[in-house]
Amino acid sequence: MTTARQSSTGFDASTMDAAASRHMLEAIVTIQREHVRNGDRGALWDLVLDAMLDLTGSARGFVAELDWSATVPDLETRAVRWTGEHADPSSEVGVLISHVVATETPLVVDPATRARRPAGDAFLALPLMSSDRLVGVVCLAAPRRTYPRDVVARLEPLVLACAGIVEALQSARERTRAAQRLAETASFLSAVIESTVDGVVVIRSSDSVIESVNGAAAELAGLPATRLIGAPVADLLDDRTAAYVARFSRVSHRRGLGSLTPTFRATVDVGGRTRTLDLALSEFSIDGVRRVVTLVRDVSEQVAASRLAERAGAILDQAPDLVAWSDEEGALRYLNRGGRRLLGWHDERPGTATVDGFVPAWQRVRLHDEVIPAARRDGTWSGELTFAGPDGEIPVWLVALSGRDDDEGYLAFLARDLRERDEIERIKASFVSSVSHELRTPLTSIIGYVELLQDGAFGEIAPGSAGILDVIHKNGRRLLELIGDILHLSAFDAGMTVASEEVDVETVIDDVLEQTAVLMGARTVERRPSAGHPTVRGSRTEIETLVTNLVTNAARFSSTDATVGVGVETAGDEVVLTVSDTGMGMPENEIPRLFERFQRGEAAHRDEIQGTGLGLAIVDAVVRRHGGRIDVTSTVGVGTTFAVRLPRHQEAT
Amino acid sequence: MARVLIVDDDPDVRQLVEMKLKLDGIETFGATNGAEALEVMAKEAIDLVVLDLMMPVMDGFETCRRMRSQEETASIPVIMLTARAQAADMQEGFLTGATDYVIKPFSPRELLSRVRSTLVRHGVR
Repeated sequence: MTTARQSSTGFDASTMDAAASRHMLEAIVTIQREHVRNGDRGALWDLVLDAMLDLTGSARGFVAELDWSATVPDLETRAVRWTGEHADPSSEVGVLISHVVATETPLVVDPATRARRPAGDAFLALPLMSSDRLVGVVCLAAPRRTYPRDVVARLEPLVLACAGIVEALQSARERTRAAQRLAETASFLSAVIESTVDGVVVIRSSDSVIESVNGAAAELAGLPATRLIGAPVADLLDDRTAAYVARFSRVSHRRGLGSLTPTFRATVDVGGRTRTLDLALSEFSIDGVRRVVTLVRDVSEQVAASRLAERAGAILDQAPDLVAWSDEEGALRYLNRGGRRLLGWHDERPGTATVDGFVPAWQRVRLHDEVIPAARRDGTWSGELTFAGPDGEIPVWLVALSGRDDDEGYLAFLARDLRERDEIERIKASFVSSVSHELRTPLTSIIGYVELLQDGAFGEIAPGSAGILDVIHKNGRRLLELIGDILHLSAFDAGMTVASEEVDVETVIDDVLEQTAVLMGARTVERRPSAGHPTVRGSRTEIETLVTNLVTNAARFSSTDATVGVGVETAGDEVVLTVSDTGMGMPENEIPRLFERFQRGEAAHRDEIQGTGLGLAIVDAVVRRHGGRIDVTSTVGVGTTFAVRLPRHQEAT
Repeated sequence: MARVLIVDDDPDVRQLVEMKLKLDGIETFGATNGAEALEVMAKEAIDLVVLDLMMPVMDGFETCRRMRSQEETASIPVIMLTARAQAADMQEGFLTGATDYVIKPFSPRELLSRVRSTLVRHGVR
């Protein structure tokens, strides 16, 4: 590659001066005007090239624009204009451009020094620098001529002007892009503000009039945005909130505060509904107009929910029972005051407490192997368990529940202290026993003395008095029977636990038939024999009462020529006791209410049949207490059959 | 003539039993509790005792137990008077040596027949 040197032939640079200067000035003006008009770089390069060709008298030329977007400037990607034809990048021109790119300095090639091309052109290559960066190369060719020695210096103003224009063009383009980006950001922001669930209200500070609102704000106010804009903000708010907003506007106006205020909680009536709103205010100024931006959030539901949770917590704390819940592993999350009292956990236990702490060590296996797995499987478990209290073990009735909200599973525990229940049961039982004694003793005297009189112990009874003594005697017996029945039922109601004896039903029947022989009178008693000794587990006294009541009923509701059948047999896992009579029977509609207390059938009233109306209620209670059931079949005028089915006691052998 | 001791803290009941038995020609003695009853038996030859269970000072069980532990009273038959609620307790009554029992409230006729049959079994007329 040769260096530039003075030409010996052809090109007369001196003739160029005046015209060239004028021409260059025109070119620059044209270039500036054109680029300002269309900002198209291709058109700019055309103008640059035309001016260069004119000024230098070159026949051909092009402007190569370098693509700097690639990490290494790439000639292959340049935009080329070679008048009339394209430059061949692999040619000598390509080598020239590469040199300019590498050195960023102009290059002039004299044809005289070009060995391979005797009739070759003179070449001129100028770098286009913009902000110290190479943005292009102008390449010119003049056939059989030599460029004047100072051609580079002469062209310098034009090249500089071009570069300046390129720079201006670039910055203008960047400004346009920035403006576009800004517009995009603004529309993005306004879309965000419009779509947010929080209300945004812009208020003019000077007169507190609403300037703009987003959709959420309009919805919160329950009015269309068009109605809100231009309205005084005070119209929308209660007096206290309006005063707060006005004060903020005044203060911020005076002091130039721009920061967000702490949240202000306001209660506002919207369309007849009371809403709780959180307001946050900030002030800003655009074009000298101060505005207050209010962010409004409807927290009614959160407030209501947290109030509900607080209230529920307060209520649970008042409950005398233990209420607790834990995570699935049993780590305690909540324990109410009743629970802390029951367990004697008066100190606030650290978060490490688990439900294991509820029970003494020996019950933990049951808690983990029985209670919790059953609660997980069935959703709930309930039963009696022992808790570890501050002064020893406490019997409790425990309900364990398992549940799940969202992704989190939990266990809940409700426990009731049974000590009080056990005590009440004991007191009730002793009360029942005492009342029984206290009521019966005076009746013993009443009935007994009447009997003495009736037996003529004190001489002959006057005919009128005999009837009265009968009434006294009969009512005394009735009262006695009633007391007995009521005491039975109240003992059951008190929840007195059933005894657990082996009861041979055969012997019970025999005893009852012996005791009721007088009552049966002339009735035929059919004692159906059974194989073996059907046995149930429970209370012998209660089973005896059951049989007595059924047999007594059979006798009372049948005439003296009737037959009363009694039998017992085993059927699978059950012992079936049957008491039947060939008595008056009853209509089907009386059967459903048969076991209700003080419920007596029509026949009982009509025929004045003695009874308390409690006998079958007692039978029903006893059957239930023994885990059995009772069936009744009856036909008016034919008779009634009661079949009691109780779980059979199978001896473990 | 048979001699029967009636032990009950309720004077009405005691008198009722006494009247019924006297009408049937039985000689009666009364006591209001177990301790008194033992005193009567120490002085009088008694053929049978009608003994209430629930009494102050000394109840029927204790009285019966003491009777059985003393040679003079060990063979005297005892009919216990008991409320129905305590019927289950009668097992203990028999263990302490009761001969029979009558559930309160009782019919004087029934009590008399029990007394008569017990006396007959024990060879007293």
